[in-house]
Amino acid sequence: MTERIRIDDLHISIERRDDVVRAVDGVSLSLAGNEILALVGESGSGKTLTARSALKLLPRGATTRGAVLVEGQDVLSVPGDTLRKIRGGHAAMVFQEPSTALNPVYTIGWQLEEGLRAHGVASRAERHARGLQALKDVGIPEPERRYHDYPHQFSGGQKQRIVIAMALSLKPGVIIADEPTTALDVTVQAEILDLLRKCRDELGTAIILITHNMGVVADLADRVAVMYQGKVVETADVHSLFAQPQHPYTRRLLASVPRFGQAVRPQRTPAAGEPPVLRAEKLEITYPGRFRKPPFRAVRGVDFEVRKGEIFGLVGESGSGKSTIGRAIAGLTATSGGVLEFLGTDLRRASRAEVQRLRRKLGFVFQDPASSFNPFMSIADCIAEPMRIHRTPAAKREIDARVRELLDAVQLPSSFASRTPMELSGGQRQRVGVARALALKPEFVIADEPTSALDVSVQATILRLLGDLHEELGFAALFITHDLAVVEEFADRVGVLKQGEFMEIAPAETLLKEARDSYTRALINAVPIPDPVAQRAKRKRAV
Amino acid sequence: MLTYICKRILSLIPVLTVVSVVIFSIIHLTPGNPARAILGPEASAEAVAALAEEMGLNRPIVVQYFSWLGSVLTGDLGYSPFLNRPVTEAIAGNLVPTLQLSTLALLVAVAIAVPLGTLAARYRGSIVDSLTQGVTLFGLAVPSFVLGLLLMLTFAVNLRVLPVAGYTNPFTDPLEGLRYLILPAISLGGVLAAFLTRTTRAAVMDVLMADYIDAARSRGVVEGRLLFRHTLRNAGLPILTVIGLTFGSLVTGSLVTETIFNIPGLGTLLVNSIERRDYPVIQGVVLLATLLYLLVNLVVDLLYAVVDPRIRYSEEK
Amino acid sequence: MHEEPPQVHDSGRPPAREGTAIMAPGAAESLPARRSIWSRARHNSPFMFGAVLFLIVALIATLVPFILQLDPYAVDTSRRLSGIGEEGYLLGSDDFGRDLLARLLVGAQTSLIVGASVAVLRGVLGTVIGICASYFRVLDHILMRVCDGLMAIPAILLAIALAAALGPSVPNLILALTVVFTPNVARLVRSRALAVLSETFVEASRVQGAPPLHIILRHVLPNTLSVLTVQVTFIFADSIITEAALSFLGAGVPTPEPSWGNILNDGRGVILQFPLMTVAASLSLVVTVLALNLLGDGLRDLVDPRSSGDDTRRGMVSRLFGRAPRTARRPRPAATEESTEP
Repeated sequence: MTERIRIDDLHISIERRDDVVRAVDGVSLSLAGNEILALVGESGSGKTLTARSALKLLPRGATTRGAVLVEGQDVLSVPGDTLRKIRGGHAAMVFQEPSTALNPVYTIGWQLEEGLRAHGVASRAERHARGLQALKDVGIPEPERRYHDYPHQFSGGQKQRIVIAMALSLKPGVIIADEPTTALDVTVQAEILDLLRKCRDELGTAIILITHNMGVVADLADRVAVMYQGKVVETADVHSLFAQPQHPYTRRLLASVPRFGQAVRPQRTPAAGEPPVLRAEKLEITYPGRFRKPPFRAVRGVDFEVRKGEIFGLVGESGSGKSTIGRAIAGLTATSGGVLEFLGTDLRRASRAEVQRLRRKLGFVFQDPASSFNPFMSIADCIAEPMRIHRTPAAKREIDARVRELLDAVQLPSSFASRTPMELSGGQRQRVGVARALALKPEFVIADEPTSALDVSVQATILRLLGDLHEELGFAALFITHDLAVVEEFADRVGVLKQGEFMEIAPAETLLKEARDSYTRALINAVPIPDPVAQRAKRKRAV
Repeated sequence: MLTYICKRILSLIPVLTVVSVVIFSIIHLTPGNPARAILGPEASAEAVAALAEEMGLNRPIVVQYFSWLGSVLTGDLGYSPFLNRPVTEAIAGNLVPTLQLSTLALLVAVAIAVPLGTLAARYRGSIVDSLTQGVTLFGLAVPSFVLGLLLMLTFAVNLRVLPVAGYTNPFTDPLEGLRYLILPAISLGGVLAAFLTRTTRAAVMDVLMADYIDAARSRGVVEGRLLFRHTLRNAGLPILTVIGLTFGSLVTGSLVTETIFNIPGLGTLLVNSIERRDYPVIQGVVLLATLLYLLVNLVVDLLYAVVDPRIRYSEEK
Repeated sequence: MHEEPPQVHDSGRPPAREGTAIMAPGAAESLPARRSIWSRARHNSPFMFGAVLFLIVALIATLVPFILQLDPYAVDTSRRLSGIGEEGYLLGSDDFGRDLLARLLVGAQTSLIVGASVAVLRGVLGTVIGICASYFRVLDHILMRVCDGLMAIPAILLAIALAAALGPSVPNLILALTVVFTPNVARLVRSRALAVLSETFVEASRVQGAPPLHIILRHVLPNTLSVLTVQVTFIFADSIITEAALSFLGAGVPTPEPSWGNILNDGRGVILQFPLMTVAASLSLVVTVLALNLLGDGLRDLVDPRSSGDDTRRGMVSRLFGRAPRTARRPRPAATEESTEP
């Protein structure tokens, strides 16, 4: 096997106002044809920069040292003309967010042909034919008809296919795939992963796959390079990496990955006979239509209940209505039919004062910790806000004491109280988010994707924190997520939503092991297991 | 597309209503009797009463508004007692130089701003960029009439290469006409250029950082093509919007500039009317400028739909 | 390193910090050092330069005429159009033989008074209207249509028409300018307030049952005022320019009261014989506006809690003039590296 890409002692530093950040610090890697190398690591570990250096797509102020050889040519030092031939011709890139990787004002056909034109395909007819073929190869239905459509007319998964088609159109030897499935739903993710696998198997393409998802790694990669603080700390065959991780960082990383069927959590038996904390019956949520557009039924008559002290997991793909339900319970979205009973009172028919009183019993943890705090308020003010609104407790001293208590509960030092949210890291902010949700000692907590904006390792610590607090305080919770592995680890019972309807509601352990509903099974099957042996066996079974 | 145009035109109705009310009320804001204000303190009570009667000032205000609106809609902007002719006629006689000046100034501004802004964005942080930023900062601090006076001082008074003031229609004598118009156009366009350069720079910089630019680059597309085909088309939208929005200040700017350079345009007409308190003419000029502004922005919006498929298609669905 | 402003995490910069979270709970994570507003202000050259320049202008305008006992109205036809230092005039005299320096300085007072009054009035009115509009749908439609209408009329024209109708005087001028420009501020405040209202932290507050007043006072106002303070500085500069333009056209400050616009108008008549008048008035105007613009630019960076300053090393000239717009500040690859799952 020949080497398609070789990175030799690569250093990348980025010049900022006051200092220079060594983002990549002596990385050496190599990759042959027919091979998929996964680059994994935290945000900021330098994995994206390393991979992008293969195309010399580096940010302003970046300086490099070392060599990046693509098909024997050093990308970092070749003249501009040669670099242009390498870009697209020898190495191509697939981006994380397909909707921003396509120019919105040109048709996809035009954009497909542009790369061909840049590489000297002069004949118009030939460009058109090859563009069409590329669309066909990646499985865009009716490519002739859709050739002159604009990017916004395609779905997210289709857009990613188009981006891949563009990358493949010149049959490059190397493809850099930067988190290619992160923006997509699991079922779509599985399709895109299959497509990438096909590239390797049928075209012999070498792929550098950047991802934070260990399931994706287990599913697709042949070899894995783990990056930490700008260095490659471990490179290994995928099987041995998962079986015997050498470096302590790798071991910690793998340990924090939630896995299917390995959740060890204390069985909680909800007290039978007690009234549920939350009960929804034929709950309908419809977004009104605008300008002749028909109204959209986001939630279509769902029945479920959350019992005292229980964690109810709500899973589904984007657009399934899972967040809408959470927001409706919190009063952020209007409901349009059915019953929504919270602590025995129907929120749809309750008086304003009653709803206000009930709100004290409810805490909400938001998805994005960056935007859920007013940048002008201190951490203490953020946590104290619910207490101030409800004047419980009323005295300033008591509020201060409670803030300290809550900071302690979420394992943050009390010195953070005077800081502003912008000074904290994502994980720290989410801890503050949890503290705020618990400020009024709620009986019910809604957590809407509380960890999906965080790194895997941080995600694990936040989940553990939530679990411990739940154990200690015994609130009931609605846990909304798209991540089946997280739900299995965390929830007692799970409801699977699809297009506003429940496909199945069952206890977590039985649902994920012996799902009755076909959609649930498809969903579970689509999730790559973070274990190469199991995942590959599963895929074989499916074929 | 057609529904989009219709919708856009319909949305002008409330705006026009407010505009008409405001312009109509200008004359009624004068303390005391408008007729007295027009004729001045020396005029006799009979003359004032006669003018008030002639202008219909004795009728209820709502009736006055609708009768005024009615005549405006039929193209009758009233009669100027000072000029002794209909306002429409007076405006028509002064419109051409103003339009010539505005157009020329806009050309100057775009010709300076778009290349300069693009260059500054492309070579961000370079010496070109810093210089551009410095110059535009000064440009933003210099009002067009001040720039006009300073240019006049330099080129006409001291260097004597261009005429101090005056006007020749460039359509009858292009060379001489341009000699007269070039200083006013630069003083007006220069200030607009400062603003447009900054807008262009920001817009282009935004687009240059978009993923699809990197994506196109990763396919081996040449840098020049990246800039012209990908960036400018996307950055064109915000630039176009800003040009539309600054059109109002372009028109008013040209009115002020005219008075400096003695160009017989709407500005000169307006200034003379202010001194004479000739309200019908003031109203007429304001109304015309507003309509021009709204028209230009309508065109910009329609162009937007042409350039951006997302608008075109979302309306069709 | 210690000068790195706080928000480094957002740009994913220090790889180490997030990483250490892996074993230790939040407590062990370190925080970057804080910078006080004052230290940030001192390092913000446009802000400091603009502020000092503006202070100098304001001080000279208020103190010098008083100290030197200058009279801007004293006409002396025998000493017309004298040059610098001639006939006992520090900066010469105008076509009526009035002291040009006195007129410039008292004109500065007029400009600053008009500018400041308009800026404050517009800021307050615009905020009230904008926030009302953002919170009450029905009011929103009415107010915004009115604003649209007023904004459709080219600003200076409307100001001229209003000032002409109301009669020339400084209070009327202030009134006219306020009416003309308030809609812009109202629009700005409204759009900003609407953006704030859709932020997650407002939702978080709503979930807890916060009443509208709480949300307006605690969330909307602080997040809007920061934008507004910046805007008010620019409005100040804008009002000074518009006042000068109006006075220049004869629709602003009534003669013989001195104002830069009036001096420019007088100077225009004698530009061939006595260009000094034009030059001096132009310079005063430009310097003041420049100071305010710099101040506004600098302020924009200071009030934004998210702003992180520039991302590359820069020279003095570019730091003074070359402020990149905020949208341009985020370094690209850092953003792509965030693992954000929808």
